[in-house]
Amino acid sequence: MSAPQVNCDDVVRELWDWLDGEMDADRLEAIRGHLEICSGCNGHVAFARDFLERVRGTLRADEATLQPLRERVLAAMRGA
Amino acid sequence: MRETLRFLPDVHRFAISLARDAADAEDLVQETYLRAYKSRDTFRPDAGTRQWLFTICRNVFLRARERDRRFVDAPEVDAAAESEGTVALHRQAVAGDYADVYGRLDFGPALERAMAMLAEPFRVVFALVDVGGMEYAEAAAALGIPVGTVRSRLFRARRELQQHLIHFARDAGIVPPHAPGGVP
Repeated sequence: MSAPQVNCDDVVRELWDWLDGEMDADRLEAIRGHLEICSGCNGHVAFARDFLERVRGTLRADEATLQPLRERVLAAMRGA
Repeated sequence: MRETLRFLPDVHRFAISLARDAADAEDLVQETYLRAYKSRDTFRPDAGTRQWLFTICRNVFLRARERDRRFVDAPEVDAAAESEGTVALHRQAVAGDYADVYGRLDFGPALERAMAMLAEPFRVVFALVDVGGMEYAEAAAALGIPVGTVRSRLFRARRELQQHLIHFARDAGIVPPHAPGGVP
């Protein structure tokens, strides 16, 4: 069976599903194939991926915040 | 139970994304661990410790504010249209020569500010998937809503956050004044 056809409109609609890996393997591969030949869609993916990677790399507290919080949590558990 | 403390940085990140300030987030982390400790006899290790802690954290957060009804009653949104919204933002960014806008921002503080502007149903899903690292199905199970609803709320959250970030960049003079963004 041949791979399902994918066009730019499909990629636009399924942009986040593809980046999240939330689709079946055939669909993932079909979109990957389209991205190999479509610079426009590659740009959309790069823009969305940049956002996601920055989100996932932020909101991390440093040890100066986490250590007192660990001690506070342990103290609360001991007192429970 | 002490071994669950290795997930404390994850729970803290998740709590920050739910709560609106650092003090509330720390209270939320403490209450999450306290409830986990009290219910340790019912915990099944195969359920996944991290997901278990996130679920407790989410429940503590929502119950404390009695917002369950508002959460369930969130407006339905079209997932495909939300994806298209991100592409539209990209097209405008390319046209305006600021496709690297996120790299030009002080991203962490800007993201926290933008998250505080999200309606709670969207912020909670974003917190579970993009901060907590859950798959759509895991988030759906944790929240008791369909996977399709997780998907559409997540895409709405991401689109709104990007609009707010571009709006902040415009206000800061990082991108041209005609850049799109602002309250959707």
